[in-house]
Amino acid sequence: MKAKGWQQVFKFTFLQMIKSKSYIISTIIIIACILLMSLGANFLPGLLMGRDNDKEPTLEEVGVISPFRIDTIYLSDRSSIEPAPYYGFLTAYNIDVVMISESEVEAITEKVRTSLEAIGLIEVIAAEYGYDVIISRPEFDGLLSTANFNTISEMLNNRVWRAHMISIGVPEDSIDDISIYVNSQITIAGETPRNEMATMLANSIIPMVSSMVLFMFIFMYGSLTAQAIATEKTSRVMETLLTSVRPMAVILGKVLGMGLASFTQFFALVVAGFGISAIVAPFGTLGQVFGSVEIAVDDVQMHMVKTAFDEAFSGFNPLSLIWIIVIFLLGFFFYSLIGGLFGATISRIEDLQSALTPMSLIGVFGFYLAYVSPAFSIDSEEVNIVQRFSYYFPISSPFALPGVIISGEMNAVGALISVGFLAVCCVLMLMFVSRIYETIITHTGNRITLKAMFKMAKGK
Amino acid sequence: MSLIVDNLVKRYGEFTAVKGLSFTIDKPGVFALLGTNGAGKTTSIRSILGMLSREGGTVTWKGRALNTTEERVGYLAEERGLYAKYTIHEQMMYFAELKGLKKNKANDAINFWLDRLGASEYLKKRAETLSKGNQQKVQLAIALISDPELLILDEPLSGLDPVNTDLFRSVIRDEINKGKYIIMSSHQMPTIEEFCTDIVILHRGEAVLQGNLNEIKKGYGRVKLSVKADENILPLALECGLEVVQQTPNGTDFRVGNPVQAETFLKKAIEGGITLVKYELREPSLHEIFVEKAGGDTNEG
Repeated sequence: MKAKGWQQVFKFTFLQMIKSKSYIISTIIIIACILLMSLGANFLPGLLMGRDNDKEPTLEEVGVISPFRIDTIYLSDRSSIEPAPYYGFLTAYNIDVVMISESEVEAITEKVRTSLEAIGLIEVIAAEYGYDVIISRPEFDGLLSTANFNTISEMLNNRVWRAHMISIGVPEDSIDDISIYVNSQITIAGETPRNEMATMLANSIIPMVSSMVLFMFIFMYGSLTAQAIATEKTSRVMETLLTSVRPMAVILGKVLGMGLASFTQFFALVVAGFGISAIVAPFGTLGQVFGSVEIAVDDVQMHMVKTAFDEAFSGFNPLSLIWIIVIFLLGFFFYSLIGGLFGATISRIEDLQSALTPMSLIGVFGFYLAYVSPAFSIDSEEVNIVQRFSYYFPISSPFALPGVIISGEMNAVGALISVGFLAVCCVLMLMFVSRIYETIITHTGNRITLKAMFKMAKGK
Repeated sequence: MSLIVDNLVKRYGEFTAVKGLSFTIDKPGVFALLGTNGAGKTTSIRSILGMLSREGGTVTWKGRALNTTEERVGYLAEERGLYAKYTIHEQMMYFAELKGLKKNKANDAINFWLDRLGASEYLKKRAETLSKGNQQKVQLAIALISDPELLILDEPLSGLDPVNTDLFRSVIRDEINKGKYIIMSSHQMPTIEEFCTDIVILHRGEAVLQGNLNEIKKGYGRVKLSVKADENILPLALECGLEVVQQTPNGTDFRVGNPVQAETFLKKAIEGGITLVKYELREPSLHEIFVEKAGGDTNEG
């Protein structure tokens, strides 16, 4: 296989690709989407719904306007909790707290109901089973709605409970220690237990999402390689190129150049994803500042989510990252060679779509195999047979394997076997392409069919 | 230094596009590859350059098999092609680097050729914004960028206006003066006659005539007679055995069987008081030779 000069083709292809408007814009859009998704999921609720903190914020931090938009709260405390108050945080949020007696409740209730002002009534009542916290808001919801009181309700629940603990003699320092969550798990004997959420993430969500992202990059750039080669051929640039380099150098440089451009964008996405998560996500800097998740879920739920994510991403380490890069590049190489081959079969650019049909069928079949098979295991700890097949089948393994490596579902031996199959396929594809590419790249006239390509390869 | 093409054969399935083409270019200058459309010129050129696989024959340059990726070979293809979206500088630099030029030398060559061809102003423009003629200039510059020893020009003047035709001709003349080996395919016979010393005429993939152009013409002898007169000369010409080839407002062309016929015609015309405006007994032009050899049954495609 003569491929001298592929380096120049590679360099030119890569530089032109990353300089293109479509590449720059798509990269920006992808990163912006990640940012928006992170904001949408974590950051915005924190901004819209206020925040919850163990430390009471100072008035200076809060500002003169209540984040809850409530001016006055009438409070009827019938909890008998000593020592009160558990409601000190309300004044810290610049809300006027007016203590009322039980006899005044009826009148105040009517006042609040008919009020056009930002006021509310809170009743904390001792009950047999614990406490009732009843919050009343005005009928007119132009100023205040139920949502304005949701956060106060959750914060109050927590503080009433703490006050009760203290009132019955639990030392304040020990309260956090007794707030534990008991997590029960069922597992196959001998296997590491994993909670339900982690199982769902590892067996289904991560493989499905990663296969979708990988398909997008591998298949899209494979198609772009086909398009680039078809454009060179149909615009007759190829003839000028071929006085300087052999056809194999053109396709090799083109595939590798596109591969690097694709990988660069993929890598940018990964870095941006982690970076944005570190800043915006609930565990990240801004997430903590705005307390975005704490207001929606309690600490125990938060802990469960964190644990599930930690378990689901348990396979992610520097070595697995290398595996993923290798699989990505091999997958890209495989699909781009197919794309380059079919792109070279045409003489008119309008024939490109029909020429790429076989590649599309192969790619979509591989993608669906990787994407759909995890859905059958969504409630199961077991990996199904189709899913397992997709890990080793070279058409689907570039899309399926990275997800299961991240989640630790695939060990090094399994990954090695799968990558081995894929590498062998790449070599076979390269051999096939090198046998016929020199003939088809200068062919003019009708599109060369798959059958004709096999006949050519056999003839050689 | 010479280019030897020996018994070149190219087949597409059952169809033989080039049938045993052989020629030698053993001195600098322009060698013409002529033929009607579909005669096999471009296929021959692509086979010589190694773009197409050959079913037979060899191409030797400087004593060894021609490898265009190793030698300084320039090629201006018949069907022009540039990267529409890239600037002229980007693509010229790319082709220069593919030819092994370092960046500085490549920049010098780019500037020189664009300046020589009057296209410097397009350096930073995208190819799609250029006119067809200016794109052709860029393509010629790309073919010449590595200062090639062997230059192949497939229809270099097609589609050019008279000004740019003259510009291209002057560039080709410069290259001849620099001692380059040039293969040129063209349908413009006056241009071929202007530049070429040796020719080959292909018809249906086969060389039907080849050799030194002057010797070919001499071989035909002075068999063409062009006459223009105030009176009707046709009866006299037919009486003298002349064969009418064509009649135009500029006169009548005859085919002469032997010089005696022409002399007899002239003598009788003068004796008969015919006023001759033009009388030219000459060798056939390349155009006439071409039509005779390849014009019988053309095969478009």
